[in-house]
Amino acid sequence: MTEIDLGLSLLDHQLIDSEDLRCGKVDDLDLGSLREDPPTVQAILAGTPAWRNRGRIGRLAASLGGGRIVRIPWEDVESVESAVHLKKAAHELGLARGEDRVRRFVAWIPGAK
Amino acid sequence: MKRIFDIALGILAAIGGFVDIGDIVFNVAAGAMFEYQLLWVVVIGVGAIITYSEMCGRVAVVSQHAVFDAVRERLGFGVGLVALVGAQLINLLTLAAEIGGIAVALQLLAGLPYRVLLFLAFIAVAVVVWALPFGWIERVFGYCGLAMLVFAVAAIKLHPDWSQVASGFIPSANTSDPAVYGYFVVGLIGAATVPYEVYFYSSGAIEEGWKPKDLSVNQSNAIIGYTLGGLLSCSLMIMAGALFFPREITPETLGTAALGAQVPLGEIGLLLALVGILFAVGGAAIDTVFSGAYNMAQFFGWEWGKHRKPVEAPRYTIAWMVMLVLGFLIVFTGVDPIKVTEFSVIFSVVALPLTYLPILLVANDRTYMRRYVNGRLANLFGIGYLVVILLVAVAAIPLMFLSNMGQG
Repeated sequence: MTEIDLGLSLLDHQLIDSEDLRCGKVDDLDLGSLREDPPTVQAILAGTPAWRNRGRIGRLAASLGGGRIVRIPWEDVESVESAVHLKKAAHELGLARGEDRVRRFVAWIPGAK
Repeated sequence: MKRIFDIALGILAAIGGFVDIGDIVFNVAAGAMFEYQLLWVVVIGVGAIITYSEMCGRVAVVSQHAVFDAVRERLGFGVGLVALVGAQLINLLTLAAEIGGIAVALQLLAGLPYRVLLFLAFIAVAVVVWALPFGWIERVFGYCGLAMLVFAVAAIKLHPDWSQVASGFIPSANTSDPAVYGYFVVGLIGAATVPYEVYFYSSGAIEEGWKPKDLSVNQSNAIIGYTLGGLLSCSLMIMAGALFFPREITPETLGTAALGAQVPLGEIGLLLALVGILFAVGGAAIDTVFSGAYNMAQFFGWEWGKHRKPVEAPRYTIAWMVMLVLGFLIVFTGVDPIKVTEFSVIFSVVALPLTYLPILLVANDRTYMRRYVNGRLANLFGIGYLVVILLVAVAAIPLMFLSNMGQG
């Protein structure tokens, strides 16, 4: 068992899906019940509303943005390196939907594909 | 053999890419006002950019952290977001100034109305960023920017008093107006260390798929390339010190700087100077466009990179387009690009500590950096320069007011 500092080695790190695409950041963590000993990471939370728990500026930024929180159960995490690699593709998990919304406009420009 | 060739090409591109509108404005103005007295500041600024470019290149290659990955991880969401907003505002101002610079250089070359040329500059940057592959952009603009070397020849041809030049490398403050002197110290350090350089450098290392075996290229690009780029900055100041200082000319446009090559070298000197300025400033405009999009994507976790097709990284693509349009609109209002340059450089110094600190922290993290972790030398320079930059950052805004932006 290796010891890791969650604040430093997990929170705010890049998420990379099974197709090697960047698909968000670790915006928050679900540690389950803190009364459990030891508390374990149940899930990674990603998405604008998850910034709410990230201090005053995070709360402000979350209130300005829309979207919803995507919960990635810890079972779907493949490995934690510099980035967090996931076992599934972003669309299976509901991640990076912002990219899809914008893609239509970009695809319209000649030479985009 | 190929390795040596790669290293040489990288160095050439680094020299050509080092100087941008901020360096031109501040070095020429400093030479015109203080002759060679401020050359020592260029050495400090160049040392800072070498230290942190090498470091962020190494961090990017080994740990796959570009600058704003590190910013968010180490500063957290809140402070990181403040750093992002600051960085983007400065990037925008810098971009606006560089687009203005392209138009001014084109105007002196071709003579069309300024606003038409601004629009042409905007379209040209958009087409280059959209259509040219990453490696090409860096090389083409880097090599053509080498035409700026005409200023080194001009500086020698103007026969400056070399003993005076040499004494400029020793810090001294022989001035009746310490606030203006201080303002130029801040400006010269700021111009050499503009933050987009490290954003672009670290993301570029990932774009080009550098591996740890390429770290020698990283080192030589940063150390040799930027040292020679710094010599180019020095020659701008020496040229201005030899030509403008004795005649009490205050350079107010980029054209005045180009004149510095025309006086000793004639028409060909002027032409090379303008072409050099055009590509140096144009390359910088492109770098800032990319940097703005890199920062956004890295902070929010979007897919990014020129190596991806635009539909594969759509938010990143929209981000650079929005940056470019906003930068164009700022300068299209008719603000003086030289004034915008001064603001962007002074404010960039204020924001620099939040860029450098996270890089220094990740570079010292053995978990990610393994045997490429910062050595004693890198930390000595890294911490030393962080302290220098902090001092300069604290002094920047007060000096801007006290000196009336260098007007005295």
